[in-house]
Amino acid sequence: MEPDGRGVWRALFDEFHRRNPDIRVRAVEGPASTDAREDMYVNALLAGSQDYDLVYADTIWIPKFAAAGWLVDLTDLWPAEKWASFSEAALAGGTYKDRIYRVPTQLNAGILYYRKDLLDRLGVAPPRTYDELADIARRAEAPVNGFVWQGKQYEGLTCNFLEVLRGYGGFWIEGGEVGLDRPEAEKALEFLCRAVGTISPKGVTTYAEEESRLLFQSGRALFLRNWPYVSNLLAEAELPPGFEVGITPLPAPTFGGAGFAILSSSRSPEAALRFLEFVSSPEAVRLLYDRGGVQPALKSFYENTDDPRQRALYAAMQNAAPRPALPQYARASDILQRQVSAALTGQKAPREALRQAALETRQLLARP
Amino acid sequence: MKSSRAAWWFLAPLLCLVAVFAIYPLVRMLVLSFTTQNLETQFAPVFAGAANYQRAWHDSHFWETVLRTLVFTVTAVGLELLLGLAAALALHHSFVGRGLARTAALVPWVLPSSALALGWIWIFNDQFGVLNDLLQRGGLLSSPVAWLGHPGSAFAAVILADVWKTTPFLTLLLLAGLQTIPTELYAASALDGASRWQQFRHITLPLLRPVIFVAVLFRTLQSFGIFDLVYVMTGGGPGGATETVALYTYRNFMRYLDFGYGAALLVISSGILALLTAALWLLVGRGRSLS
Repeated sequence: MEPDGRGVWRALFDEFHRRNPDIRVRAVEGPASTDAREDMYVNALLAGSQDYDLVYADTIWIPKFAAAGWLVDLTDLWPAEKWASFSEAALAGGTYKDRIYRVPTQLNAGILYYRKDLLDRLGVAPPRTYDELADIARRAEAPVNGFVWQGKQYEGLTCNFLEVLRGYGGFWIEGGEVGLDRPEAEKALEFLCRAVGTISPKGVTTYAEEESRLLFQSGRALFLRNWPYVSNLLAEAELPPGFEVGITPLPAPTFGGAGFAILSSSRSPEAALRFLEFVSSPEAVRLLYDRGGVQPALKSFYENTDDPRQRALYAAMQNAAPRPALPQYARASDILQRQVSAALTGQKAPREALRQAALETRQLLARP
Repeated sequence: MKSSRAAWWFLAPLLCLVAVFAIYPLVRMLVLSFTTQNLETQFAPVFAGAANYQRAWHDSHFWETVLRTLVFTVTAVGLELLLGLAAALALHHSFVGRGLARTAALVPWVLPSSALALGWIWIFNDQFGVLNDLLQRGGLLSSPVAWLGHPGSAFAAVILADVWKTTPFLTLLLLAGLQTIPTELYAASALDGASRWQQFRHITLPLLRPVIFVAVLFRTLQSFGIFDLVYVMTGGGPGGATETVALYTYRNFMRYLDFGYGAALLVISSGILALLTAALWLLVGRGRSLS
């Protein structure tokens, strides 16, 4: 699983051991990068290793791992009411072909952060569409940029583009159909291309999460598209005077949280299931949140909280939609990233880039 | 006869290592490249004949990465050789603080590439980057440039990062080579009235040639497989402009789980590397004699 620098998970395992003296959890900390962690699991699974019982899985691994037959179908192991206690967005992120393979432990989705103080001064409400966002962002005065997001060629770009695409009513891949060469997609990509160098800094095409967060945090951006981890960091950070953070839903946020799945090769699936029951209990969720800021995926946490920031975060994320649940997802995403990045950096016209992406995606889906 | 049998016994452990860690994987890769082994076959190898090679032949994206990696390799190794030779010549002469300079020159080489790549990302950043700051202060730029955001400058940035990191390796090898050249040759040629340039041209360069060959060969093989720097700095972007063979092959293996095809790409890459090595041998490696 992810590196446990702050000992958050260690505390959780200690608590689990206290309640279940007959089970020992041995956590294997992997690299911090999600892709590198996926490599770690894939290597072990391909070699037929039985070293792992549980996978702490990113949402986009689920279709691939489930299609490979590596995951236990959890759907019928718990009653429907128990599954209903999780946020729908987080649950959907662990579902493949209507079967549930993963217990969500983290709610994570795209969020629009804005400078409340500056928007108040302009006398405008937070935007509900990308066109409204652009109208407000244009009024930002240098050195404050209008809108920062993640435009580097990587998985984050897929998430960002998918949000704009869905925000304009388009779709990427749905029911075997590819929507990338439809007018909505062209509108979406044109919006982002126009943003580069106008409402967004030119360098946005090289930004991942941290570059964009630091720009916003240093007071040099009106709007920031990012994940909920930024909210915790902003709450702890020393901000420039007058800086007020606002949180509002994106038109169509992309889901991206983590959770636990049981491997088919596990030699102790019962113990693994008992751990899953524990990790989704309100007490464990509370512990993970208090100690490590792990964004809970349980609905009850948000119903019982008095923290307006947490309520705003939940409101922003509850309608998040997962990325297409395809076993070949990684290839589809790479096709999209390459073409969108080429358009954003002026190497191709948006229409041409999208046509190429649609063509390659259709070829990918048609391959036997 | 007896001594040659003893020699085989002494060689046996090494030969075992080579067989297990070099020959077996190569043969395995070759076999794998003639099968389809991916998600659709549930990772069971299914014999596919030359289908993977046919697919690779028509995969224009793959050939773009091959061409790009060749350009990268020639440019980066060429620059590293020039700079490394200059640095080695400078460090060969004794001056105050030479020990410190020699050690300091090695620092980039020992640092991990992925950590360096993160540093370069910030150096090239348009808003916080030190490069833009310096250029703007020097009056060379009027507004900041997103260096990693344009195909050409991103490619150049990766080359710069690679040159910075691996020039010390060439310096080290060339310096060792320089130290094996007998000083008598220089003394004798000085008596004959040879100029510095003539000494360099007719003594240093020819005697250094075997070392240059080995150093350039090492770097060419490494550079053709460049992965970590690109993976972290640009992820192959923008728009695929810095995607290398290694990155594309890695994606086919680890991200797409398309093992048969990935193996075919590796076999083709190995063939290209063999050709590169042969070309280098013809250009630099031949004729080690003192002429």
